[in-house]
Amino acid sequence: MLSGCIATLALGLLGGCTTPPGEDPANVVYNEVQDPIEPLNRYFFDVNNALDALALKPVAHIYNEALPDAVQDSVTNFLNNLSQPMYFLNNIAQGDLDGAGDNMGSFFTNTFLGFGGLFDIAQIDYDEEDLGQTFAVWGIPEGPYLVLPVLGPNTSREAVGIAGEYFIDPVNLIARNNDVDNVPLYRGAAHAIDFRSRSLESLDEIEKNSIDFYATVRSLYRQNRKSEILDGEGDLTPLPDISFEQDEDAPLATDRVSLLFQEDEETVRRSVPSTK
Amino acid sequence: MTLRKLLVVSVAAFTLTVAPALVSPSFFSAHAEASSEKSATALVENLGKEAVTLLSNEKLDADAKRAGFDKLVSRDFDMNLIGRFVLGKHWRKASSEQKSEYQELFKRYIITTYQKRIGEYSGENLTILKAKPLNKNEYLVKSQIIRPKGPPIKLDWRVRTNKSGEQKIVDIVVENVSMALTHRDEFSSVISKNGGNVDGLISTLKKHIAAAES
Repeated sequence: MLSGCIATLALGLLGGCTTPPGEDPANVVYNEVQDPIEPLNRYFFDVNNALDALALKPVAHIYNEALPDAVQDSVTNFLNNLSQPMYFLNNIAQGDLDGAGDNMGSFFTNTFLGFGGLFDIAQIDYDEEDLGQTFAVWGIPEGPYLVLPVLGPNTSREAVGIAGEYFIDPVNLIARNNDVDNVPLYRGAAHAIDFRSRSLESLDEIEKNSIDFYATVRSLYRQNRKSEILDGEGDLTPLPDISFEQDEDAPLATDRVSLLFQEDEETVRRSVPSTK
Repeated sequence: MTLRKLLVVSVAAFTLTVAPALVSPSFFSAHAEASSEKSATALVENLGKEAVTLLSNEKLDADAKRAGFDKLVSRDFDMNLIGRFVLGKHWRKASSEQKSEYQELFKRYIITTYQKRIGEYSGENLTILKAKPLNKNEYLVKSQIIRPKGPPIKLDWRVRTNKSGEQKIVDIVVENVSMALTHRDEFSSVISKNGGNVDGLISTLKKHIAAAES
């Protein structure tokens, strides 16, 4: 009995440590979109799409067509490897020491055995960590949705994170100390081309199939961020509560989900004449 | 003395461990749970196979494929429930004509959209990993799409047992992104742009479907 209590307590404490307080997985109800400056965001979304169509997308196409797959993979590996020191610092700040160990292991293995990171020798499965995610783990709320010119979809928290990383990323610091100019800029551009060339088909398809591309991208971005913050842990991934709690006619029962569903199916049957 | 002690201890141990398992209903329903877990997995596996067979069949034209896909979706998905979830808070404001028109259009929108997506995925492999219980009547069936190039795509299917005991898919989660939620955010935005009126969504859906089916 006592050991049970201790176990529960320990679990509770562990849960408290590993779960970002801002993203309580028990709270599966997906909060409404926070987008107070939607008109401005939509404007920059359109601007970014125009820039994409004019510059990024054609370059990504050429990159995709002209370079062999193996070279493209090496570019991806090289860029990922350069990001490892930043992932490492973020994992330390998030208290994820295992994650930090993975980052350090891949960085040293790939840098020395993988020809400066061109080849992924380590084959370690790591999560991409950034300052925005660290802020989330520290309990800072995501803030309003924000579409930045050129940089694209963000929330206010992530935007501050991006600005912060510009200054504290070890690779950028080393470059600056050795008077190598514009390294963050070149890295950013290379990341953009690398990402865009890998998402040519999927982004085209989303644009073609959605009735509101802006809202779709906003939803995908926010859901994906949530999953990244929770490091894609299946058990922690917040699934939407497919019940109808907002409805005034919802019964206030303890076993809400199942009851609501039964109630709901009746309502659907009553109100929708069979279409078959 | 020691023998008696042993006896007492073993009886106590029996009553504490085995007896509750025999008495409690969970012991009996364990079999039922295992079978509903299996049937949830089988549902997804069959659907995946049938959909790929149908959509990669070169003898069928686009209309026949769409009709076949419609049948599969109607059989395995709880479209009324998903449609209502996607409409969200606007459901209650809608008139019954709007509701039935919307449900019909929503299904066609989903069919045209996902038929294309699955059509493009053909040749790649769907592997079922495991089913995880979410609550009393829901399972999350986890699967992967193995691609020739690039890492596998994570694909989870939310399967719910409805009131009449049938299992239906209520959501698809791609790389931890819920499709039901994505459509809900999207539709809600279209409705807001049209002054909170469901008719705006209905006409947008009509235009989109007409363009996609032509």
